[in-house]
Amino acid sequence: MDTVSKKSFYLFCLIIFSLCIPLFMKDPYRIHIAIVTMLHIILALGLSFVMNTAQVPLCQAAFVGFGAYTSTLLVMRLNFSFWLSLPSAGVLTAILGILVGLPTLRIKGIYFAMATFAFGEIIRLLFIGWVGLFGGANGISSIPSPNPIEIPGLLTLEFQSKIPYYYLTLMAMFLCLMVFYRLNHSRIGRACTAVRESDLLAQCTGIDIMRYKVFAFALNSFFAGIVGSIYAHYFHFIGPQDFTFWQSVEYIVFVIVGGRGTFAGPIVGSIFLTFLPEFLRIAVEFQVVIYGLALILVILFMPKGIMGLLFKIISKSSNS
Amino acid sequence: MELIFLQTCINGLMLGSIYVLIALGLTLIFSIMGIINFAHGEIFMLGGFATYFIGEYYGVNFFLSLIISMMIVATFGVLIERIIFRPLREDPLNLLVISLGLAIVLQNLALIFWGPEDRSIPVDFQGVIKIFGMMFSNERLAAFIISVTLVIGLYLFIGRTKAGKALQAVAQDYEAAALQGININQMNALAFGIGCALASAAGSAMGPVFLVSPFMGIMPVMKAFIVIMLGGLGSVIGSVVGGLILGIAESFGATYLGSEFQNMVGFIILMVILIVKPLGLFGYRE
Amino acid sequence: MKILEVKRISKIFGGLQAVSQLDFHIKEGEILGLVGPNGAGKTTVFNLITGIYAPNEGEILFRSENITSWKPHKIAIKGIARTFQLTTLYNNCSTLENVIIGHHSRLKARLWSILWRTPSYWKEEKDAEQSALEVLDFIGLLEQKNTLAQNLPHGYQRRLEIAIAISSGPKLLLLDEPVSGMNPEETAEVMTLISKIREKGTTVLMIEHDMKAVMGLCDRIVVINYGEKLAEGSPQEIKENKEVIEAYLGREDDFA
Repeated sequence: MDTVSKKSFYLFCLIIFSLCIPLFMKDPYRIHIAIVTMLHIILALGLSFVMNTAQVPLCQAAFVGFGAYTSTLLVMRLNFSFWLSLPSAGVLTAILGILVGLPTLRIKGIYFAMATFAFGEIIRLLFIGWVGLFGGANGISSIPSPNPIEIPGLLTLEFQSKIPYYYLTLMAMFLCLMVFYRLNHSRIGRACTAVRESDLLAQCTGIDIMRYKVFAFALNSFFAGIVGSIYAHYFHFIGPQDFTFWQSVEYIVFVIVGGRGTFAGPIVGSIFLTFLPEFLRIAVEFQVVIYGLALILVILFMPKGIMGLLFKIISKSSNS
Repeated sequence: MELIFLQTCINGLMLGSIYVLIALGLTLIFSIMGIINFAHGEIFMLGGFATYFIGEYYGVNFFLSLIISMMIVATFGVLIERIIFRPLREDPLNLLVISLGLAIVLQNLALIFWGPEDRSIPVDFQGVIKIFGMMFSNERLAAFIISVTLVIGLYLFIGRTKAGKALQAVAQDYEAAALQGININQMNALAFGIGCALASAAGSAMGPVFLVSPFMGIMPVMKAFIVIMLGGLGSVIGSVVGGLILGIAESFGATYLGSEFQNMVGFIILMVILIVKPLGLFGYRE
Repeated sequence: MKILEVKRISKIFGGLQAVSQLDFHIKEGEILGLVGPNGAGKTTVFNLITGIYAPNEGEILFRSENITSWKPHKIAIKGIARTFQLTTLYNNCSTLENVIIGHHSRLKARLWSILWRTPSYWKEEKDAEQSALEVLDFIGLLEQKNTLAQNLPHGYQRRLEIAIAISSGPKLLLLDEPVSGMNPEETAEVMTLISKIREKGTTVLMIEHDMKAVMGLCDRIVVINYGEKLAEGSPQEIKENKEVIEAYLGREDDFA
């Protein structure tokens, strides 16, 4: 079997496996963890894509929040079906991403990070301050589940238990994986790499730097909006405290610990850091301490993250 | 009517003076080391807690415990600089990210060990003072005096002492300073230590005015970022001017607007400055 | 026909006049040398032509089109490519990847085709890789195609820069000290390469200090000093020009 069909075969198995998980994993708590992990993976992949254009945004949680509130308001105030509010939240958040990205992505490194930090705070304060629209510090509760899917004659899928949510999130994650994987292996992905490696050379080779930075930023915002929408209709309650700066920091931790600059890095980082504290059943504070320590240790000793370490081990063993 | 205006102004100055202390520490650290230290708020918090515990367990006078706290926290800061920041000297973005990690570790360790309750630092000089018909709490007044004293002290140190002048040299051009024989590592440690000491003092000074808790550093340091970006990264005058401006603006905001929108204004200013003139009012660093 | 016309451009950096009323042109198909002492402003001229700086005065015309103040990527797409004085590569990518990235402006796949992996996407990717291999073969780096750019020896790195530049199929190639840091053997190889590039139809503007390379390759030479044009002419004329000789006196004796 040549490598391409081997890869496809493994991929196929993985897909079937993930589709079947709810069949043999009955514990709703574990399904909940799986859902949260997949949401984190989507966020980490998008964030990593932006970070590959040499910018570190500190406002990911604000985009998630924006998607969450948008979807909620579309469903509860304008009677949208969830199936319409979901993509709408994605698109509207992407638009927000473009609006914010255009003026800020021109700015270098740490100043860009600070600007996104400020933006994130502005959005959060908006959620708290505009009580009429966003419910203020109390947030919005009793958010309805997604509308049941009806395939006439076959089945009606209602969102009562966690399992339909699992499949919903799984589909979103597959979409996200496919999009980013294909982008990375195309001229768009190469252009982003070029921007990161040397924006001077990239420009002189005909790559419009701002275009790719904004594109990456907007695409990331799109998926963050999608995550926000799923989040809102899964937890049925959202409030400004769910979308703070420190959550944005957590998402950065996932990418860095997993290994930025690789495709699997953000995935591995999200799984590792979401599963670990959950299965250790430790309190939130300890969880956050672990995240912080992991970040510090990785940056100091393993700058290429877990994936970097794995690659080192693999190449060492193939050399010896 | 004018009295309320004047009172608001002066309250603003007092509040601003605390921002100035925090901002000065941050800007000093930035101009010498090039780090934007997101964990600065936690240093501030540690100062507050240190003063609380020293006062609580040893019955020491407030001002004395403030000074002791400064020394303890500064030492801690120097350790952090040595272990965590120094290996990453040339990499500002990674430094920023690592300081984020440090911040969440410190916040949550504080939460784990000391619990989430707000504590107040009792002082012997509680009370209110009346000047020209305006009322000021003694605690705020004390905070203001502490801040002014430290700022003057810093000014004298930087301008008049050998170490201070060496710091100035490093801030201007660290390669040239190194060529002149100045020990960059020592200067970094010194700058970081002083920065932490200032933050610690600010935290201690805030203790009696507001309360001490693990998350008390978050908002003040965000304000401090606004201040130093407004005033210009690396500019001491900028920090002072910016801090006072923000303090006054917030004081007026609190009196005449709602508090969330008042906070938002600060961040809008920050974003606009970064987009339009990242160097701020007085900044000179690239 | 004049492929590039630089008309009386000037550039000031905070009080320092880097380039002053510089005026010259390049004929299509020629190799023009831009020489001058260190600090004369040569790289600044390159930066002005490629859009990294905008001139304070004057115009730049590329194939009769006014490209003054255009953004760098637009100028690159129009057909001007360059290399840099300090080796500038995509360090963490392989040699082959570097050259494929260089093809960027020639690829047209839209987002849609990329996401759905249409046949046109596959074809374009294959063609790009094929073309990149051909470029590497032409440059002589085919064997190193999988080596990480930062791991290449200096001479190969400089060649890779040229490879990236020509992979966009430029009409005008700007080379900034292409043989710097090379021994005589490598220099001769690169000189042959540049000749071959010209034979394929690309016009070349070259900054170089190595006088052997300049004299051997260039059809014409423009000499600048302190940002101003000092002299212009054939290699022989420049060699005998008194002012040029004077400008180089007191510097390293590379004007043998």
